[in-house]
Amino acid sequence: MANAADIGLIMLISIPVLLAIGVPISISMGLGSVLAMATIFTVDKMAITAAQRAFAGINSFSLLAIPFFVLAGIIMTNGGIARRLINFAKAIIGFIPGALVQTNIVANMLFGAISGSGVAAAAAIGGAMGPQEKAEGYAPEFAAAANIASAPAGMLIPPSNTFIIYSLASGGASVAALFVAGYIPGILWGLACIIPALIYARRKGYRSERLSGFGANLKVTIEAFPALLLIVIIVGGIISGIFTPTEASCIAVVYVTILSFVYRTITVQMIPGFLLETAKTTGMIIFMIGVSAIMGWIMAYARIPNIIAESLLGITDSPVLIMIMMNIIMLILGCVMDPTPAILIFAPIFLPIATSLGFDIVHFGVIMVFNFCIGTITPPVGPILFVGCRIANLRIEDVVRSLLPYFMILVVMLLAVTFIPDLSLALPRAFGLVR
Amino acid sequence: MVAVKKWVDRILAFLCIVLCGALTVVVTWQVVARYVFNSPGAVSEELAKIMFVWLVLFAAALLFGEKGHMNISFVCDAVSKRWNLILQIICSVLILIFVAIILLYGGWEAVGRTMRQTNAAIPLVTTGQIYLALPVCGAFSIFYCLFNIWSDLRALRLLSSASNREMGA
Amino acid sequence: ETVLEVAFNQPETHPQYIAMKQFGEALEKRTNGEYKVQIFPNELLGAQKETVEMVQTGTIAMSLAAASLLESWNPDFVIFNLPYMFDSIEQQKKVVNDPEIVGDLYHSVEDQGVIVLAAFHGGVRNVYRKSGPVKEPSDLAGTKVRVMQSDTNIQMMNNMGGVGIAMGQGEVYTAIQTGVLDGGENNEIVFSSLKHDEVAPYYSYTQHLMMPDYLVINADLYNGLPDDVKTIFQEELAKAVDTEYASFADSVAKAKADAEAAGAKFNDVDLAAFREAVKPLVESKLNDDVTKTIYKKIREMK
Ligand code: NA
Ligand code: NA
Repeated sequence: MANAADIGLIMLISIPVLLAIGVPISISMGLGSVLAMATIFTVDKMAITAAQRAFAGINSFSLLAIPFFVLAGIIMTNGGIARRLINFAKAIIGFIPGALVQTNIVANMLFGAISGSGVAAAAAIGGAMGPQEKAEGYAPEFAAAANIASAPAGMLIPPSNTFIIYSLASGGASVAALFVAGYIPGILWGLACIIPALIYARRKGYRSERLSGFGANLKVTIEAFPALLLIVIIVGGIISGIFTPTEASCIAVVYVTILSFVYRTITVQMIPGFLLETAKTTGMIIFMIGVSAIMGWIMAYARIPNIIAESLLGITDSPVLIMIMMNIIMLILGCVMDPTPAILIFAPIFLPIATSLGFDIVHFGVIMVFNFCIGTITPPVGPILFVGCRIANLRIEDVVRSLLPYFMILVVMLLAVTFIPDLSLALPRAFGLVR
Repeated sequence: MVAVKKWVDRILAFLCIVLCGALTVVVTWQVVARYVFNSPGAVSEELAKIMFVWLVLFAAALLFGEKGHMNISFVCDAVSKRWNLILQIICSVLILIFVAIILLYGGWEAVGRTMRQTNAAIPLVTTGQIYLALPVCGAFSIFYCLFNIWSDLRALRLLSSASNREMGA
Repeated sequence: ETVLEVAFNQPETHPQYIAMKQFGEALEKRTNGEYKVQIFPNELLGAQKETVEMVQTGTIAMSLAAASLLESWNPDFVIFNLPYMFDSIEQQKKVVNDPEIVGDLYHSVEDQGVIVLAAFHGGVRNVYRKSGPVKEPSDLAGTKVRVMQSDTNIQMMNNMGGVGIAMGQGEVYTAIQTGVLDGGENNEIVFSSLKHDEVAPYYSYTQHLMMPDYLVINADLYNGLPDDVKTIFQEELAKAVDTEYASFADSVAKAKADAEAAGAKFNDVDLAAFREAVKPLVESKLNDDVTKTIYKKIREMK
């Protein structure tokens, strides 16, 4: 029988040590979990189960959106499409200090909103913005941090696979209500990122763009039109039922490829290179998600989530304190887990506690997704953090320092989302989706 | 050894490119098929998932060869060149242990146990054949780990003989 | 002391959880605490396909498994997954737990490491859709209905007059909402709890599928049990099955009431017409002695 304390302790000690000596994050988690499993199972049971868990963690249709949006991002970058989209965002927000980074943030919201993939936003927009930001003398860590911090906004703004996963894990929260509930928190997330960027830019004296005239703005808008049409195609395609969100990501690839050939910015010879780059980025992220499934499994087997829940309720009966503690736990979990397995494992544990405290199931879904969205940009396991660093050619530890102000303001936003239910529920209530 | 690695790199890169391209084609086909034939069947989604798993595992193996998996490197960066190489060798050994036990051995056992289970959506394929991606990835990764250990050991030896020469001079 | 892990993909309120909990308590009591049952609900240990593989490996002791899952282990398991196989829930209960009828089938995967120990009721699946009630096969013309991911299910829906679209459950709600699908088919509990009644409120009692859920156990573990414990297993599982069928009926009634309160409309259909429509499919799937024999025994029962 599993001894939760032993298992927790083994993983708590071994994984940080492995990480510190430079073992890849995926392998650190894998070895730590396998070490814990070895205390319970024979070697063959341990090996087979771990292998099958890692496989199951990879084998998901919704994860397919990741390579497609990464690929679309690479093509958009090389094909000059992301640049046109960015020029448009610049026309909207370029008037404030640190214009390029602010543009990056707004473009991430636009891109992430349609794709539902923060990883893709960080790759596509960050990849296109990076060289420009460098050319204009922005500190690379600062630019990368803004790109990374703002990318998860699109996971809250619909459409969002993350909410669909929560709906499943919660035993049937209305997907429509969750989608509508995500709008305001998602937009708040993006707006929150503008503030630290603004303060830093002011201090460093980064300039704003001169206000361009109507004519110039019109030109930029016309140039960006085919790129903006992609938003219409994706959102329209999903809403009108032509395709599912995962399929939409693939259609995005086809569309930007055609568009880039029309612009004559890419050639057939370049495509294998794009595909290989996509494969590598995908392989790194998804392999890590797969191996983290081993860790999720051994924790569930040792009933660690249940123990956390029970001890939570044992400490206090103040709803505010319990919610704050749950948020802290979810933030910590988000550090080491991907949103999908984290939601699948912890929604059934935490949701009953939250509902017993009087929280609405849809509201709690937003809280949970918000927490795990923060987790996507924290080390050691942060897919968006990784992609953002990889795109910018920076080390994690360099960027994390610049990310700190964003973490702080996002945690404040998290508290707001937690304790002001109307931020989540006002819209769905207005549409009659929740009572 | 270096020449062999170059060939393995080329093979894996080629497979990644083909799979990634084919994945795009299959999912596009799924959307088109639903419109043209009104039903894409259960095949295309399952096929896409299978290709996706193989793609991820091939790419993961390829990245072991490049030491391209994300890690936290500040300790490695802070120590001397010599200790850096030693740490890298330790890391390669630890990776080797994981990929050998879990991916190669565990994966191979999983293949054996599921070879008779047919796939619900594509009855021609068995679960075992799909699981085969695990040991294949494991085998490639083991090769890369051994290669990395070999080349790091060589660098370490060069480093010590260089410092010996300096001391002698 | 032996702890037997049971993997389950539904919440603690599900009838099968309640039944397994009752089984566990009885087993513990009757073996003086020597055997305990630990249930992991909510897919905590993974999806069913994976947890059954863990049972095979021996990593865990038991798992609940949808009937369709075992088809990939042995095609003969298709028999109870065919449309209109049973005339009533009572008949299903009798058939799927009668060792005379199912003993060979349930032990046919023993060489692959698992045994089917008991069969529970998994609900009766009916068609629901966005645009008005279904009365007969022709009403389904052009209706895109989500079915489980297998060609048999697609073919079944096509025979019933509609268009079967295979899709993971996670995407169904949005797919109906956006028009990728016109409806789905499932039991009342899933229909209500996944809130599909919000987007497809017309629930028609086509009663086309009545698939059991199996309790599978690691073969070595079960065969290694002392005979008296095996007897306790059989006796207590029989009681658990009784509990589950009764509790499932209650849950269906409650789900139906909830769905009606949410605005869903329930209606009956021309059953004979649907039964006739899928007959060719049923006959084409009964293609060996094992399934033919079981089919004959079921038909002789009434
Ligand atoms: Na989105
Ligand atoms: Na994280």
